[in-house]
Amino acid sequence: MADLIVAETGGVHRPRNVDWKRASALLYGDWGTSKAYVIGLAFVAAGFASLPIIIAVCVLTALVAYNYIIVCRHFPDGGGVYSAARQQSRFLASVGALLLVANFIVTAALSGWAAVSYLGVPDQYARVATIALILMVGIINYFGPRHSGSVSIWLALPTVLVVIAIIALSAGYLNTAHLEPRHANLGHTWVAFVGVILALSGVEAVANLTGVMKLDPDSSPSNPKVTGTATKAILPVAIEVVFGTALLGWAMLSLSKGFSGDLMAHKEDMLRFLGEHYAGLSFGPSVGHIFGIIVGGVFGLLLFSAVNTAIVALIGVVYMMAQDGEMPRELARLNRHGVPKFLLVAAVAVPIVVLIATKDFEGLAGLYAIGVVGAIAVNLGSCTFNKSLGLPWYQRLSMGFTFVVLCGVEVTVAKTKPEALFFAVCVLGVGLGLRAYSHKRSGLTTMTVTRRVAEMVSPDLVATMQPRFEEGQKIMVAARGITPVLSFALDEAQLRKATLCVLYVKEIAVYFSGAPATVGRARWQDDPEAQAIMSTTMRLGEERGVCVLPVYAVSEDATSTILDLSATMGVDYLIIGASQRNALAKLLRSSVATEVAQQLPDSIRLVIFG
Amino acid sequence: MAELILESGVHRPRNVDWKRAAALLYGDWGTSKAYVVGLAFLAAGFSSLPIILAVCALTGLVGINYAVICRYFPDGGGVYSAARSQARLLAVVGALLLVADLTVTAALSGWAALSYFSVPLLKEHIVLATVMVLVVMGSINYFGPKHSGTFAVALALPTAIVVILLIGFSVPHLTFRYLEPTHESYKQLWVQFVGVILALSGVEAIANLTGVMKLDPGSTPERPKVARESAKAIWPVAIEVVLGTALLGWAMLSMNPNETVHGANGTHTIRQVLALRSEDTLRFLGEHFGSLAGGSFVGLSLGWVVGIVFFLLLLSAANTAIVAMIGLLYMMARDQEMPLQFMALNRHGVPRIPLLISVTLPVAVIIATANFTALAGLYAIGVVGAITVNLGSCCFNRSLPVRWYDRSLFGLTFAILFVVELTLARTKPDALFFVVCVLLVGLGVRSLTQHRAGFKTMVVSKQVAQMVSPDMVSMLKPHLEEGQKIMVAARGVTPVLTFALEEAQLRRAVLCVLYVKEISVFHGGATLGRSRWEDDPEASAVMALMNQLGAQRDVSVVPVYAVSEDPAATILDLSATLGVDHLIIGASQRHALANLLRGNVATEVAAQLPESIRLMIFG
Repeated sequence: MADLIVAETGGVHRPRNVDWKRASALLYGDWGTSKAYVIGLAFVAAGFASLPIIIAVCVLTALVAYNYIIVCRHFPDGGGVYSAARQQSRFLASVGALLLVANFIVTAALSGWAAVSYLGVPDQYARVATIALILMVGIINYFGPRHSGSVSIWLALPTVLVVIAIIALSAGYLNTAHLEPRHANLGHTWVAFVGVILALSGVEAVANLTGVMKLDPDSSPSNPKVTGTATKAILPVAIEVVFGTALLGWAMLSLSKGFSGDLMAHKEDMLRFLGEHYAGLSFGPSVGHIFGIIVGGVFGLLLFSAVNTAIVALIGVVYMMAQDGEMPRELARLNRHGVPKFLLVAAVAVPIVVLIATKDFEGLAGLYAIGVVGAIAVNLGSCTFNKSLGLPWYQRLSMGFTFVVLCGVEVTVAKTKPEALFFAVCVLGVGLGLRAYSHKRSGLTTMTVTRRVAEMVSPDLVATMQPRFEEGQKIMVAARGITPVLSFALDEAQLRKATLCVLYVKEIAVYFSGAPATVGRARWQDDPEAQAIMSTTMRLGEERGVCVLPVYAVSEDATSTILDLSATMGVDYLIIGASQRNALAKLLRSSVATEVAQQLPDSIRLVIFG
Repeated sequence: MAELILESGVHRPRNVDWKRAAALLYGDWGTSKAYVVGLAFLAAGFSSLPIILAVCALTGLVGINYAVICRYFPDGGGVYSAARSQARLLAVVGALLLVADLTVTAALSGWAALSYFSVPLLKEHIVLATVMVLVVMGSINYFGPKHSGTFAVALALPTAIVVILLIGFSVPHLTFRYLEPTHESYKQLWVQFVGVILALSGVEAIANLTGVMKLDPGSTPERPKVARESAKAIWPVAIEVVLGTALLGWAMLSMNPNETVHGANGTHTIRQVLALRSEDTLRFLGEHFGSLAGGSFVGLSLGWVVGIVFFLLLLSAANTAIVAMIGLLYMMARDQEMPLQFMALNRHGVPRIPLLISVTLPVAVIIATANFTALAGLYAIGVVGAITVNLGSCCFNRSLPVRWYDRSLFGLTFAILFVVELTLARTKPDALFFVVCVLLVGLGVRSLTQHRAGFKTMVVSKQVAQMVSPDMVSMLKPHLEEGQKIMVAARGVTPVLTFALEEAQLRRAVLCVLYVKEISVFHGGATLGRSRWEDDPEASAVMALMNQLGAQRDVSVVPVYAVSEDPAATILDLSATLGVDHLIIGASQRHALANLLRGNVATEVAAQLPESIRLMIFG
């Protein structure tokens, strides 16, 4: 799935070839697995009083699904936590993405453990078998995720059939005779509920996919809409997960209390046990045994594919951050099969470390929710408080409500599961540390400025604005920064109704004129300093009705380039200047001003401003 | 102390000498022994000496680091200042960690104070009593910290005397006989050591104080140095704390664990009593060794003296923490990292909301924990985190001219404290949860503040960051308002006059045409003002033409004539005197312009013209 999440290259459209069926199957590959361990964990938490907890988890899943349908509607070009939170702040986006990373690490380990349990590996070998399985997934992914990625899609249908079969087999035995009222107070029930929340992250993957989803019939690539596709992808899966989990939970709790020991023992492969039991009741023990093997095989494979999906998604999220400069660029280095090699090693090694560090399946499950709930809370919170999103009030209310509930869940997880909090803090600490290191290495810095300044600096606001040529004079200003000379040049251009050519000469000490990187190919958009000057001047020019023409040159001799371009472009005025008065004095003492003054054609008037 | 941390650009009087600074530091560090030895005993019983010594060693190491920091940050070197040079976010994180620390310091010191006072009624309802104490302190601070702030200073000497007395009484009984080997593995020992680290935050206050410390002899306000002054403040306190804690710890472990003593709660062995009285161990030491030296009356009296002195010192430490938290929140608000409402003062000049927060937070923490050991467990994560951020910022700040051995020292201490912080986070879940809550709430409030104040945080390249100055918006505002004045310095009828006229017409400005008659010898006694342009044929040609052209173009032309031996100085004088907005100088021809640029006039004018007047050199 990594390849589907990665590209956030603004402007460039990737082919929209994911239809609702494929998106749905991908979602099912994560959400569908939840029932494989949710009901078992619910039984561990509250025994025969666990039905309200299972139903509450189903309701939360439905609520999250509804919200993500809205998210997909408003983010047709990708609406995962990173994209949604990035509109608020890059830092928040990184925090959201790192929480997702924490989730994928645990998902890989947990799904692996559950997979080997369903495939019948005894408990004492489960940890070693899971490590071997994760290593295997890593080796397969070394050659690229192309083939492994579609396994979950093939497995979706058999899994649904198996779920329907178990429900059908248990339908005749459903009863409420063994249900117990809640044993503990509401506070404890809430904690138990929080402990059972698992496998919500698939919906994040679907939100990320909207950028490559097939468009709704009434929309166009320039005005994309994927509401219909996303709804069709999410809704059936949500219904299956909600009703499937609730009914299977009920089926589990319809067994008599004499099965308590068995249920506890099979908490990790509860569905296999249920399948075996109810098929045995209907068709005899041998059929039950065979059906149990089928259930185990299907869920084992589905969970195996969930391990793969988690590892690929983990690589994808970090790769996307590296592409965006939020992680060291070295992490994005690919092997010859196009897989980021360092990330692949990390994506395999970290879940293995987590497996070694945790004691058992419950310990592993305890680490899960803090990441995914945090990421979803960041996503929904970002949407709720994003005023530019144009959400109707009821959608904003729904998102706000879900955000508050998930915040409550997150705080409870943090308070009641110290290992989970420590794990999340470690992932965030390491991730933000790498982010700071990567910013430092790529010469990026974080600054807090007023919104007006931020808008001026933002390059994409006006970068697409085309220059408007008018008859009249041309003024060229040679800029070396955002200095008062730019303001003066704008004044002049406004007053004289002239076209303003903003010239930025990138001075390089050594210039290979014969090399392929010729002057003509240099783009101001690729030079951050030039970009800031050009964007600012273009924006101000637009505000003041001045036609601004960016002129960018790379040269080893600034003076001759200024002279050349002034003459070539036939400007009427050439304005040069300095940022400060002492800099102007230096400019005047330097050879640049005198050389320009000497060599500039007489027809071009020179203004030295400071 | 709050107001001492605040200012950045403006110089405040440097009136804190090393003695006062040392006393302020002692108000926090000095209290540490009041509960460190007790907590160490709870952690490891009669095998706790290595832990106590390790805590003393860490305290000494931190002391050395901060003495160096004070040398490099003579204008304030707390975590907020040091980390701000790396990133604003990091500075706020450091400050919030300090808030977490001060919250617990206030609560813990209040609790320990009442324990030392040892009034049964107060001890029975210690949670409520501590809450009441904090509320009373908040009420006192409502009227300003002027009087309460000097309390710690006044108490430093009696406390030091009491510590010396305690050590003096215990010296004859010091022995290694009852020490037990460590019961645990090294890993457990490390965890126990980490659990006993307390009361390091005073050193942060000293680092903050460097901006108001008296300067070292030989340094100036422009090039301040407080290395000696701060070293004199830190060293005696660090030595007292290190040696005092070690000796008192040894004294505690020199008591016979199996000896029985009779107390208000019955008869217990020393081992049991030390566990029961872990909150006022020093008082018990005073009672015990006092009795051994001069009978029960002396013991009881010494116990009361120790109890009262430490009660007052700990109360003042709680007060200092409250005042410091108010200062920290106020400073962040001034820096627009916290809501501006945090700066609203009451009529006594105290920030209302920070005062409320600095009382409410410790009260909430006391109610939530309701246990001294649990409260102590919350302490270290904040202060160790803040000191780690400070030392890490100094270590990795390449622009700080730190010598290699100082940088190595910072790096080593940073690494140790980082591991301590990780251990705390791993072994004290409540502390981690508490500090995460403080950070999340703090960063949430910061984000809301910046949103409301119209600020945006953006990631840009360093070059762009250098270009984007805070006054960029005003700098790029159009300067096209009517009523501007343009002055053109003319030396003949040249194109620069046409340009100046165009400018004046377009900008609807008044055009001052300046003609400077340059003379080689000028008699100062002669009357500059009396010279008339009408008497100078060249000048009158220029002026007449400009008057005529001005009338045609509806531009108001003001002739300005001067006789001078220094044209550049005259141009500068008149530009400033007339308050022009633009000064235009030029040359008749291109080669003349080149000469002008090579000459002195243009460069002198460019160098000396006030920044508010814009200069255009035309050619």
